[in-house]
This record gives sequence, structure tokens and C-alpha cells, in this order.
Amino acid sequence: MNEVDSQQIQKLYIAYFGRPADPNGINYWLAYAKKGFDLKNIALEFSNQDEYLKFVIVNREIDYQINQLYLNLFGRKVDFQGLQYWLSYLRKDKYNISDMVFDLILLLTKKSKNNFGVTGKDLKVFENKLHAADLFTQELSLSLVWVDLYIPESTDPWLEGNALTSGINFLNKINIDHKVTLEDVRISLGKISLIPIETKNQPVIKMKNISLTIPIYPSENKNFSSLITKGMFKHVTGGKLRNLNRKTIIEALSNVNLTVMNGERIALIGHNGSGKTSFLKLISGIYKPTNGSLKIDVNVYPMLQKTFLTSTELSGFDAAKAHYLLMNNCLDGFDIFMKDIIQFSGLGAFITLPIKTYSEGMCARLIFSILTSIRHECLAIDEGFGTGDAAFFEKAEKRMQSFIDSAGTLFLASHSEQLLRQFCTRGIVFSQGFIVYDGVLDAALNYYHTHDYSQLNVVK
Amino acid sequence: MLLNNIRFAFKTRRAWWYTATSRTRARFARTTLGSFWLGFSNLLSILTLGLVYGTVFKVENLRSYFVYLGIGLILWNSISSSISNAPYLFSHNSSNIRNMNLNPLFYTFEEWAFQVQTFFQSFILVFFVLSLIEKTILFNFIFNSWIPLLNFIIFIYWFPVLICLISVRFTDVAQLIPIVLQLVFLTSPILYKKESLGDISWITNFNFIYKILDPLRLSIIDGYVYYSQTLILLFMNLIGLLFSFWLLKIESKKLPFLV
Repeated sequence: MNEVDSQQIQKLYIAYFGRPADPNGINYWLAYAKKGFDLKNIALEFSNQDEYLKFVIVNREIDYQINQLYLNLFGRKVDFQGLQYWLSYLRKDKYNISDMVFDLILLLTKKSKNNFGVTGKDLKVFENKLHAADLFTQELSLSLVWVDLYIPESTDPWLEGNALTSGINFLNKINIDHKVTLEDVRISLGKISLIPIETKNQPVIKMKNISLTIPIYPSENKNFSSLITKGMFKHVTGGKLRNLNRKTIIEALSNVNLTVMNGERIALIGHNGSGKTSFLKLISGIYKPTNGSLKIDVNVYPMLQKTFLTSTELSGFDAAKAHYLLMNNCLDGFDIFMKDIIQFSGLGAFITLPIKTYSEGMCARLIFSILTSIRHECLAIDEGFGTGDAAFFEKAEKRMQSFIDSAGTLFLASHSEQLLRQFCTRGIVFSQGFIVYDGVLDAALNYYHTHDYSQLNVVK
Repeated sequence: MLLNNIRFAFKTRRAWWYTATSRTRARFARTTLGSFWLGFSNLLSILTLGLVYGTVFKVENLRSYFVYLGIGLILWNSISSSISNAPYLFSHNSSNIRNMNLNPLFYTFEEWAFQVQTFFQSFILVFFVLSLIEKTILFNFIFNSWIPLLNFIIFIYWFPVLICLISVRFTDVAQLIPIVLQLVFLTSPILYKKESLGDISWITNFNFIYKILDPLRLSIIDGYVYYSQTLILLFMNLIGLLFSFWLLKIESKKLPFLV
């Protein structure tokens, strides 16, 4: 089985689509390879992609497909002898266009003894194209704005759109003499239209080299924590533990660099103790960063745990009123707010009884109803924020959907893929306090499951 | 900083005042007399202590001793309650501090409102009973006690906040507080007159809780206010207030990790 790396995926993008790969695409295919698929299988999958079937070949004859592959790879049409050569193969049973691509890629990786009529000049052109495509993808991965922009106009039906066409035009210009520079890449990226993310061009959170350390104060753990920080025990969860000036600290977040646009729906993915909740608390203003610069231009509302502002000796009504006063500073409209809470939570007359008499599910119903009754600019939700029993769950799900829809920006930390897919489009993967992946949700989830991202990969 | 904090206090005033009121209601939720107990329990203490110590100290004018003891005790109880509750202020709100992005000032204002509400609820009943004994105290209170009362109310905000911030860092302080308060009570002229201390009456000069309590008691009982001393006290109180705000701002960064 051939080991698949990001450069081989890049070659497939060039061969099939004639454009540089997007970082999320590379991650997607690397994750796919991790499931046990080799390069030959992936080449076959590429030939079944909508971008290839509905944009590149569009039911055209096989000789057109061969020509297109040559144009994409070598910047020239296939010569007569070459065409005959490939046609003779393709007329055989069990040999199709993906096998041809696979064979060509092996040749270009210099692993094939047969040259298939490919000349030294062709190889040079291809090297230039591959170099240009790598530069393009690397530059693209440095900005989430570009990553968001470099997408098709539509996937169903497939419409290539301005952004991907810019990528095609960029590679089309590459020839034997044209060794592309970073400046050329930036000019091409600049041509990508901003229209698709019109509403996502206003940064609301900017983080630069943010780190967060959590000091451990209890002195009774002094001896034990020193053992831990000396490495006597290995931990698979949580941030790094270390000793600083005789104090034990946890490095909850390290070197976090991030820009979040208004309206983004972000999933926070990672193991327990990877830094998701610390991140939520940081953007909510509960924690302050230890180092780095943090600029937040939006009111982030945390929904982390089921806690009330008032004593549990008091009624649900009192808890709702205290919350309403805190949010609005007055009681205008409180009656409507209260009616909504009573109706939605289903607590009825229980609303006048002390909270301590409620079951856990009733508490969950009440707090969920209170917190989702008011619109917020930006939400930071932790998965621990439950919704009570199954009967309430369906109601809560609908309410949550409209609540989130009405919010500008969303951060959702959860281990439930279903939940993340329902609400989010961008995924950030945390590991031991570091952001190890940031991109489209599918790719982020794939990354999380595979952890396959070596130094060879494109996103840096 | 002062202005920002006052702005925050004003903006959220209804919420913290309401949660403070709720705490009082929660405290007496199962009782028949409700918050009436606040004044009633104080009256019982005054009556008992007045009879016992009036006899022990061979007080000649028991009526004026009751007024002296009653006013002193009610002021002391409020100060003492504010200080003894202080070490646990943030730990009682730890879940909210760790999960809500609410300025910690909110909890300090709520606690202060709770103490102020408790003070006035007990003070009104005690004062009403004492004014039946000594009618002039009503007149004195209305016309002379404003600045000493202001000093008292500011003090029961900033000093407990300071204790609270120290206790959250040095947890042993919480254990010391009841002992120190007991010593301060016994060395303060509340059960007895200052003159009874004789040669050691100078110790009251270093007793800053007494320095807050005495001018207010004096203004109510005798209708006398040492304005220069009271204004210096007000100035010191404002410095204390600013210092507590500053310290809270510094410590609030670490607060979620400390509680």
C-alpha cells in the first residue's frame, strides 16, 4: 500500500481539477487515507467528485479527459502517440482514468520505470506547477478569510465560482520558464471575490499569542503536585503542569492565535481537559489571559453550567426575576418574559416553589428557559449545559436552534458530532491547550479522529 | 476607577438589591415572624445584656444605659456581621464566579446591600423601642447623624471587601476573624463607658471599628458631631473605598482560580 501524503493529494488536485488544493481538502483526503484507502483508491474517488464530473469533463469523450489531464499537469495537449498509448490502456477492462492519473503520479514521483511518453520538459513544467500550488495552499492556510473564500460558488448544483476559477487561472499560467513567487500568489489570492463572505468580514475576536496559566493554590497538595510536575505520573488529559517559583501551574492555553468573524459558528473540539472550556471562559471574560493580546468587540454570553443567581431556598420566579433584572436593569416586559418561561419550561405552579424542591431535570428546564429567553450577540456554550428529560429535549432543540440562529456568533464545545454538525461550520481542535487545527468543520472532525497531521502538511 | 465602579453599581443596582432582598427572604423563609426576627433578636440581646451588665457595673441610670448599650450593640452587630461574613463571600458565589462573566463587584454590592438591609431592619425596631425610653434620640438622629451614618455605611462596604480579598488568598485569616472580633468587642466601650477603661482608654485610639461606631452613637444619643474628626474619617473611608476597589480589580483576574 502506498503511504499517502499531502503532496500526493496536491498532485491529484492539479491533475483532476487543475487548481491548487485548499487546506481543508487536503486534510479531508488525508483523513480518508487513514481509513485504509491508498493513493489508487483516492485517485478513483477524485474521478467521482462533482468538481471533476460536472465541471471538468461534463460527459465529454475519453480523449478530451486525457487532453485535460495533460493540460493540467504539463500545460500542453497530449500528442498523437501519447493519446493512442493511453487509449489502448483505457479500452482495456479494469483500467480507467483514475488508473491513468495514478500511473502518471507515480511517474512524477519518479517511482515508475515507464515514462509513458512524458518528456523532461513536461516534468519541469509539472515541478513548477507543484511548487506554485504548494505556495498557493500554504499562503491560503495563513488566513481563515482566504480559507473561507476559496470554495465553490455552489456544491449542488456544482458551480465552480470566482474563487476556484482564480486558482485554475493561477496554475494555467505556469510554464517551464515561470517559477512562481510569493508575490504572484498574493496577487492571485487578491483576485478572489469577497462576495461569498460579505457578512463574515468583520472581526469580532482577535487573539495574538494568547496564553493562559492557571495557578494551583491549595498548599495541602504541595508534595503531591511536586511529584506530578516532576513527571512521576503521566497525564493524558488537561494542560501541561509545571512548577514556577515554587507554585504549580497548569498551562491551560498556549500560543493561541485566532481571528473570529462576526456571524461565525465555531465548534470547539478536543479531549477532556484539552482547553475548550478554558477557551470559552477566556472569550467570555471569566478568565483573563496571562500573556498575549486579546481584542473582543462583542458581548460574549457564557452558558457553561446550570447555576442560578439566587439561593435555592428561593423560588424559580425569584431566580428568573434576578436574571431579568441583571440583563435589563428594569422590569419592563418582565410579565411577558415570565409567561414565556412558565409556558416553555412546563413548570407551571412549581415556579413559585423553592428551587431546592425541584428535581435536576426541572432545574435544567428552568435555567434553559431563562437563558434562552433573551437574545445575545455572541454565545459561548459548553456541552455540560444540559436540557433535561427526553420530552423536553425536542422542545429545547427547536428553541436552541432559533436561539442560536438569532445570535450573531457562536462557540460550541461538545463531544457530540451531531450537535456540532447541526450548529457549526468551522471547527477548532484543541490539544493540551494548543490549537492544533482550525478549518472547516468536517476537516476539523476528521483531524480530531485521525490526529494525522505531520510536518509535511500544508496548514502551519 | 471609582466612577466606573459607581456606574456599574448604579446600572446593576436593581439586580443586586433584589438578590440581597431575596437572601433575607430566604433566611427567614420558614419563620412566622420573617425579618421581624432581625430586630427582635437584637432587642432580646439588649434587654438581657442591659440587665446583666447594668447590675455588674452598678449603673445608676439604667434608662440611659439601655439606650447607650442598645445603639452601640446594634451598630456593633452590623459591623461584626459584615466582617465575619466577608471571608466566605466569594466562596459562596464560587459557582457563579467560575461560570458567569459577572463583574465580582456585583457580589460585593449584593453583600453590602444585604448588610445594609439587615442593619436598617433591625435598627428601625430597636430605635423605635429606644426612642420610647429617650425621645431626643429621634430628633438627634434626623438632624445630626447623616455624616456619621454615611461613614458607617461606607465602612461596612470596603472593610469587609478587604477582609474578603485577603481571606481568599490566605485562608487562615477566616479562622482568625471571629477571635479578633471577639477581642475587639471586649476592648471597645460598648458594654461599658470609655471612662471605665481608665488609664488604658488610649487603646480605643487604635480601634478603628470603634472610631466608626462611636461618632454615630454620640450623634444619636447626645446630638453632638465632631465635624473635623468626622470629615477626616469620611476622607479615610473614601481612601479605604478606593483601595478596596483597586485591590478587587487586581485580584479579580485570579478570583476564578482562588474560589
